[in-house]
Amino acid sequence: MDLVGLQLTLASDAGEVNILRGIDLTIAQGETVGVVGPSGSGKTSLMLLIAGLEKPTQGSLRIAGQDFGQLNEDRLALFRRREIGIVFQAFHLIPTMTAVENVAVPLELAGVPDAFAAARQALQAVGLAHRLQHYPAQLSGGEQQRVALARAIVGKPKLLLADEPTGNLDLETGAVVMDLIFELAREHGSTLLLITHDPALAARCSRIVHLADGRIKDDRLSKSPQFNIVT
Amino acid sequence: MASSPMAVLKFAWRDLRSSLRGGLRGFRIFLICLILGAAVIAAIGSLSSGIVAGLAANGKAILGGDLEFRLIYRPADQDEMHALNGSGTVTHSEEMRAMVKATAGTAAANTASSDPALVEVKAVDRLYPLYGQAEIDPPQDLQAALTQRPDGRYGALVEPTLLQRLQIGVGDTVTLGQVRLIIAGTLLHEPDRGSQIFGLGPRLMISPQALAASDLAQPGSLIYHVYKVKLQPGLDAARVKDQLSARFPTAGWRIRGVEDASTGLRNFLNRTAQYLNLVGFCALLIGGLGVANAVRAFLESKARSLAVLKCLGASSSQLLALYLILVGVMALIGTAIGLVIGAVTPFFLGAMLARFDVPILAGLYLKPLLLAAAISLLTAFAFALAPLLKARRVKPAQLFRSGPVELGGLNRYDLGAIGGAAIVLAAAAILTAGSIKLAAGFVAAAVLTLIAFAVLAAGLKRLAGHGKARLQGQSRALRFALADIARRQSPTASVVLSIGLGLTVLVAIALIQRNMLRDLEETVPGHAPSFYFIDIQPQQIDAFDAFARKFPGADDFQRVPMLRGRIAAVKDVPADRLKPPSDIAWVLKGDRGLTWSATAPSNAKIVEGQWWPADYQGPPLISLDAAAAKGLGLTIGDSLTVNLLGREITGKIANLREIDWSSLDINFVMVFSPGLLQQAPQTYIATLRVPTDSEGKLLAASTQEFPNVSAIRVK
Repeated sequence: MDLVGLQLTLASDAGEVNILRGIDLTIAQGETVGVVGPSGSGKTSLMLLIAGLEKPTQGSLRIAGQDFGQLNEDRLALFRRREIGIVFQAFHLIPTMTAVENVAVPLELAGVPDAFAAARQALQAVGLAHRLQHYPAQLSGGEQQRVALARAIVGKPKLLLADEPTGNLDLETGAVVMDLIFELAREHGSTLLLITHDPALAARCSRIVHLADGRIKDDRLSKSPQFNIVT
Repeated sequence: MASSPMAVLKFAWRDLRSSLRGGLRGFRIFLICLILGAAVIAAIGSLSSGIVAGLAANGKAILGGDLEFRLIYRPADQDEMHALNGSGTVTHSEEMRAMVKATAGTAAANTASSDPALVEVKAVDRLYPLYGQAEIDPPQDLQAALTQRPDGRYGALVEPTLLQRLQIGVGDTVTLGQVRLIIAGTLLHEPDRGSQIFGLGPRLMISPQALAASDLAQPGSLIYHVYKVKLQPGLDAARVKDQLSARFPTAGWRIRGVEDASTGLRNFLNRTAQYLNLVGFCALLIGGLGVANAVRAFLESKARSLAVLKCLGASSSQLLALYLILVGVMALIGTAIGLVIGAVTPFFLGAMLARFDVPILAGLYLKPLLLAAAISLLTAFAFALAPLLKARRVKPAQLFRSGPVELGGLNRYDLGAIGGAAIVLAAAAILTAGSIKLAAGFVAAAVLTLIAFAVLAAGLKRLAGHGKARLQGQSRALRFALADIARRQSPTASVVLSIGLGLTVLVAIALIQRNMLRDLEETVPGHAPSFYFIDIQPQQIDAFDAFARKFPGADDFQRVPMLRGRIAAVKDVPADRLKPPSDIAWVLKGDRGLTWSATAPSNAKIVEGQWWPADYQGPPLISLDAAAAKGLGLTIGDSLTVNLLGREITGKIANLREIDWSSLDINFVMVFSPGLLQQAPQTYIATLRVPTDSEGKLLAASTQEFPNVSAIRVK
């Protein structure tokens, strides 16, 4: 993943706001990167750009050999479907679908024939084989986030984006979910970009990028990574 | 991992099922709107198809024969009769308007109304009816009912309304001209009544002998001789019609076949269907807004899920396809329910309409149902398109920020697509409404109303925005309310549009109804005559003039000669080859009243040409209604041929008059110069105005003194 001179400026009632002011970042396949920084530093915006959900105002972005500048909205969606899994802070499961249906969505959108078998496997991998037919409202917060994680990894993405994945969970449940995220990322060889306020959580990644005021303030290898498979 | 349409379909099906798990909720309004709209349009279409089929199936009974020959003033001559008899069984009836009166000195006289009543007399011969059955109360044989009784009275059958009007009953006696009639029973169903074009009063059915004894049939009396023919087996009605037309080119008879037996009813049906179709379109327009609101509300409630789907790799077109399928399935369900309701309507209303002598052949009529389905689905699509297009443009980045997830905006391609769908819907409505002019007006009015309310809503939002800014530090509740009205994605526009359009339609329908009623009440102008008197015989004119002038309070007395004839040719082109515009077609249809005059009528407004000199006695000149002239493409100097009593008279147009028919004064499409027409057998028509409280007296006195003269009350 290559980010060169990435800038993001958004219009608001009070005039233009410079959210990202020039990000240069290269991440290797399989790296786990923790992005930390105070609120408003541009962490989430950086993730939106990497997910292809926002277009940079300036700069270039290349992921898995694909230049995002060349892709329109639908092509970006297609790319996301193939290469990127996202875990949200607020889970964002579809409330009218069961756990297994939620997990099968990305595969169904892609027209994968055995989407439900794969979904069941993914749910098994996050320890929810017994909750397949439950609706989100019937699941605890931790379980919902595990379903969301299963949904993110079911397509075996090259890049896993996690936006404050434990932000809505208690400590203990958060730890379980984080263990799963690291474990599954390693298992699939996915690059993990973890956005968090929690320095301890970031420290479990192989690399920590510190954002402040829309710029990279610090970019270093972690002293105590959970695992590190830099290729 | 390319997605196939099948995968989208499967996913759509799963999404539909999962959306419906929460119940129909948002779709309840959607379904109700479409069910109502589709049901109304399907019901109107099915009902009119049922009636048209009923008319076709009962054509012979409605016409009373396979062919009908209608003559004014004169019976068929020997040659004509011979030809008619040669083609099959013939029944002859004589029809005219006349006054009847409850006879004094009978049992009912004390309670009976002294006012005479206008009736449509029909004298039928012994072969009547050729098709169908008359329904009589008390049940009896029709011919036996009409025979002369030993005491000299003739039997008569009447429509029940006449008994109410005269306040008499079966067995009582009424006087018609010089003859006394005993009411033998009431006519509940007259088999060929549906073929009558226009009726001013209830039916009085008698025998030809009774009519002769009444002495009402004078030379020049407005009397129709109607011959209905039951063709010999193997004879083709159309061919017989052509043969007899060719053999008697100047007979002046109007020949009708089964297919045009019920033109009056058909025209009425078409006009009613047009009006009801407009009501249906109103229902669909309101329904369409309901659809738009329901789909928007549904998709707004799903905005978060839509954004999630986009994050998971759903493309905009996939989202559009997904929810288009969902809305489509819902629209199909709503439309199907509406069609079922519409399709069964003829079965339920059949019995009700049968009471009004409207035959209805209940059945499944595919064409109106398909039409209703198409209009309903098009409406659903056109009105759901905007929220659907907004849904596909939902910005998934909203999931990562605090605040609600809102649907996206519309770009110019979206607006183009919505405009295209609206144009297709409008075109479909215009093409299927029956009257292109009416439907186009409706569509234009609907579009203007929508634009007006959209502008109003935008203005309201701006005003709320300004108001909010000015209220800083004051009433918090008001500020919040204004802020909510002004916010970008607020439902202000749809609320204003829905309530505004709903109220507009309600008010419009109420106003149309009120105006129609008021039109009927008020178009009878204050200066309109109280009565028309018809069939005044030439030898009666002096006496009638004296009677009218000396009647207390009488005013505005007018009397002119009247003949009836048909336009046979326009500029030497036979009338049946002309295709005049629909609003002028009546001039050529059937017979028209015409008159002659040496001087211009006092109410004449000549817009072109000159009136002839008062002593003019040359070849016939004609003064023509300007609107009719325009419709028929006639100008000054052109020729017009009229068939009068079997004789064709050609005249030249001398001038054009602008006629205000709503004045209810005596007016004729054609006024001839004196001369030729003076010699023809004719009667006189008169109008007279009297104070409202002496109308009854005038009616009684005129009937007493001139039993053969029919008085038609105007108000």
